[in-house]
Amino acid sequence: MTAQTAAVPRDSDLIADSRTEPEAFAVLFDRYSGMLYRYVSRRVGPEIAEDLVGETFLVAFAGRSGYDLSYADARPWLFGIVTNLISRHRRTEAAHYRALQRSPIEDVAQSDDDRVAAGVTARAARPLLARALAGLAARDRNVLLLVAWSDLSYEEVAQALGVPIGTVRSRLNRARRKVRSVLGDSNPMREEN
Amino acid sequence: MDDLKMLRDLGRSLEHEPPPSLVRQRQRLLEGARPRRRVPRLMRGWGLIGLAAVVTAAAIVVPTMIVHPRSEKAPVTDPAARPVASEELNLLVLGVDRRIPVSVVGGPDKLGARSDTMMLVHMPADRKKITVVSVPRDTMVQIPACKDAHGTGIPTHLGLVNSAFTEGGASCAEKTVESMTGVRIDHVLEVQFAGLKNIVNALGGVEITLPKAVKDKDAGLDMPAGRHLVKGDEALAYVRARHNLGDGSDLSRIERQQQFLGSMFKKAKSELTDPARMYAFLRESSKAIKTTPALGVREIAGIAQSLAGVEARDFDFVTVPWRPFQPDPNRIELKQPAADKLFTSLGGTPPKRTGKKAR
Repeated sequence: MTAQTAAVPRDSDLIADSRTEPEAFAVLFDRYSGMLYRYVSRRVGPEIAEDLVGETFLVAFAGRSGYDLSYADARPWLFGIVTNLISRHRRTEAAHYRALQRSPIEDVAQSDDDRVAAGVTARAARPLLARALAGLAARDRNVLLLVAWSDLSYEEVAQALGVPIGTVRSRLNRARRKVRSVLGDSNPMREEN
Repeated sequence: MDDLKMLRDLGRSLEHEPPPSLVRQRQRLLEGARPRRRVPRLMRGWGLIGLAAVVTAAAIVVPTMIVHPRSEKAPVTDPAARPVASEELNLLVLGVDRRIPVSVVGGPDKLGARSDTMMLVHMPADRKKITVVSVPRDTMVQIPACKDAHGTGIPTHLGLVNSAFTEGGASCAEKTVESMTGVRIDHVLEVQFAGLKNIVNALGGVEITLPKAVKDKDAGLDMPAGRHLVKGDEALAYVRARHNLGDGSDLSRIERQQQFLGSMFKKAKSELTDPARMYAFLRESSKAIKTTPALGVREIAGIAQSLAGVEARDFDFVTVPWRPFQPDPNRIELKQPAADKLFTSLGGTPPKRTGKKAR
């Protein structure tokens, strides 16, 4: 039924409405809480993700009057808030990555199937990637992970972090360079031995 | 291997699905949202009144007008002088078809809007029984003196009840029904048919039962017999269609509309248990419904509260007693004394009718 699409309010409509009818904000929650949860769980683990998502929406709600309604899509705004909140949990995030570095490679020795071998490569890279992420400056990591783990475009990442798009590119380049240097050009399989 | 791709793989392996308990954070948001308000607002009222009342109230299309009612600048009488909630309340609900854009209505073409459906909703002070009286649009009645969109006077005349709206707008429809029934109307609700589909969509569709297959090209209906969940244009067509459904008369259509309302009520009751859905529903409703005089936030909250105990079975849907209109068998007129008896039971004081009724 085509009529339905017309009935779907844009994020900015909901935010505008929420200024007089706060319950409208719950619709934003329904739209994006899952997406934010997944992102946060990647960065700091599931233990505090739930709380962080809740906090994100409280902060967003409190700041709704300052939202620029010319942006129909609220995702960059929400990702910006969640990124700020994650930075308050830097130690949790660091511990999350440290735990990854220690996580043992699962025992797959009994199988020599190609698909499994590919999986091993990816798994073997995990401690290295985790180490690389832990070693990045927070601002570089924020850009890198928004680019890699959210669906935001560079422009939206810039919007989320409140920096020019050129800054997004330069931070991304720096972060990727560091990640690559940690990964090295060696085969992670060999490095484990 | 590309570093970004490796990172994405890592991300996927780290990702957790949102747990059901995430809903607690939603609750936190809603709770956090409430006390911040300085002025009591509509939805807060809803929250306090409780869901049952909200749903009930919403479902009878009554307080659905809400949120931002499209107020008419010139109310028929001073709104302050009119009773609201917890007192007897009478609403005139008009199903309106706009044939030209709303902005042009009231302009040169006064035939822009047509009211195809007319219902008088009577809520007695105790709210024990809500009576919904449908007035067939083909009913010939005395239309009192009204003013058209240009302010030009229209003298009293005998005419089709729905022509009152076409000629003199909501206020004239109100006057006409008031003089016909002797029931004082507190608010007129104009429900846009076109907006109805959005209301139905906000509810996730409404269930209907067709006794036999329906194929009506004019109305855009093509459905087999049986139960259907209708949405959007289909719902609209069902409510509006006149052909190939029932006996094709306005009267069978009224019956269908009443059933549809009942079904909508049930659906609303089961669906609107969630503030966000409720909100979407109200949002669409407010766009589709105009109240004259406008109902304010407090009035609506009051009405909702007063309807807390009302269930679907407390609604009484009736059609005004009628008989064929002698000069034109395609039209009907009120059947007396049954009609006046009904109006009196609704607290009305029907006008003294002399000689030939309604002529």
